[in-house]
Amino acid sequence: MKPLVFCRKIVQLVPIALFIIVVGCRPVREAPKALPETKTLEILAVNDMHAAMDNFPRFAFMVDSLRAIYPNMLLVSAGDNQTGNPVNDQYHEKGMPMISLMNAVKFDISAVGNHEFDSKPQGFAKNTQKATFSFVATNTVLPEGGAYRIKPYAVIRAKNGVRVAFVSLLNINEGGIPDCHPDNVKEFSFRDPYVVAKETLYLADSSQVFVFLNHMGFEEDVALANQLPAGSADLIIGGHSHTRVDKEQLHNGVLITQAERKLKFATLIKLTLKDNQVETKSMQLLTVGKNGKERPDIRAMVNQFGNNPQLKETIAEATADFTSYEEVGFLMVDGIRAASGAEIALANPGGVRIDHLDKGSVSVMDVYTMDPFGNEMVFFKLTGHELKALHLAAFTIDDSSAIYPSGIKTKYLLTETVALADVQFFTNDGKPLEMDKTYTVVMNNYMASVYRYEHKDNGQGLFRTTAEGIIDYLKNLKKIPDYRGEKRVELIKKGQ
Amino acid sequence: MQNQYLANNLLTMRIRINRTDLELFGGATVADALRRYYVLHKKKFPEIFPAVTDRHGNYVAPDGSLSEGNQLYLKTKK
Repeated sequence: MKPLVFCRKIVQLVPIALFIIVVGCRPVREAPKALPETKTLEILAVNDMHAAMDNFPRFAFMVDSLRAIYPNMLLVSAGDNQTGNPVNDQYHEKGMPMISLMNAVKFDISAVGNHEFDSKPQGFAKNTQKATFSFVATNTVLPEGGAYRIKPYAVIRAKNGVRVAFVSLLNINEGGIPDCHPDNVKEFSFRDPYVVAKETLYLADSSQVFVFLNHMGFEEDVALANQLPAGSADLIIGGHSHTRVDKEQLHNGVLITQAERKLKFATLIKLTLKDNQVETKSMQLLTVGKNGKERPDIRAMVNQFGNNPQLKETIAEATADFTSYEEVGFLMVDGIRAASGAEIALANPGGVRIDHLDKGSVSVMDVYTMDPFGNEMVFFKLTGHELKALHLAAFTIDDSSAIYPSGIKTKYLLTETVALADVQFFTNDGKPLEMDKTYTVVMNNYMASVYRYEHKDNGQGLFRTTAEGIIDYLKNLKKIPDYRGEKRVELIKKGQ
Repeated sequence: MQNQYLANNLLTMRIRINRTDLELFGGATVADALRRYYVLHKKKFPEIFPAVTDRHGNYVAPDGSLSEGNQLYLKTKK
């Protein structure tokens, strides 16, 4: 071989030799390291639905559409599913229509809001048993041996395996109970939600996402987030204050959401997890409302509940015609007094919407026609002098009309120009009322907020509507007496 | 039961709208607070319910529940 040809061959072989050396000297190839696993979780959250059944067919359609896009999505309610619609509230099994609808759209979990207790202990227990989703209440101590199907917390595994811990805190008012009728919660006791919150943080060890599904109010949720150790909770889905959170609210690293009320909106929450840790979180407020495509089977259910003949059934018989606002007002205020257990009940003249009621059958719908406002009863302790101050203040606000009383009679003394000079009070048997004595008095929340007069007790809401009180009264009464000629209020103009 | 409970629990809820402190009955809603606010300021209650926000700028519905110490904001015409 010629030396030149030999050299050329060597030069050509060098890269091949280098390649063999480099590749040959590399250590045995390891299996590739697993990339950090990324998962997503979506939660669709509503709160304070308050039996807005008319929006359910649309809502169900939206839920189905979102589930098609996000198959791992959880559907949750932050409580107060109940109360606010006679179709649901006057159903023979109070609250069951809402439970049936929530079952039909496959809710995963619900908080216990203060209005869940409105179905009274037996009804509430039944509602929890019929629900195919979990009820969760963490600072509520259930009665021993009670029939409630309520968990103190829940860990739900989404379809993609993500474990989500749900803890639920309920707002407790200054009286130590939630905002509901005290009789409905006498079996229960309630613990400080902020103390209980800290006791539950261990659940983070057995879950990848930690959620407070609260019914406390937005400001209380912010206070909670700020008290928690940083990074201990991922999300607070709230209710109670009917707050419309339409932009991201991050407090101490916790995303807080709330979707106003009555299924007007729902919040779509999106989380991404990397190595079992929540890495990103975002929310979007979606409009639900009534308009748009609906799920036909849910529409059929809603229509069926709406055609409930019980709403038109006779609950009492009127023994005579009612022919004036005054007569109807006296009936209403008698009902409110009986339902509240107060000594005296008062109704404002503008609160009575019909001036006649035919003799014969009276139905639930008749009551909602005479008292359609959804006003609630408020309980006061007032002296005779405070009662007088109330009547004097009310006369101008009520366009110079008298308040309808039950338990007392009143005499309005008017000046020649029909201004109110004085009001005198009498017991039902005509004796002057003891003005220094304190009386239990019930009135509606409108009167409680607009009459400006001196009084020590600011009152306490009973969390029951005046209409519900009247319905219960009439159901017990069965035969309504003749109110024709009933005189409880006398207006005397000076000079008469 | 009810009377006994209430006799022992005279509850007052203190909240604030703009710079006005209000004392309300326990269980009052945003609407109740707003009605009291207009009475105190001797203004006629508007026919359309005015928009009310909380201290974080969120809209709150008229039937929203209130708690002790809540702060609400109302835009008023001067």
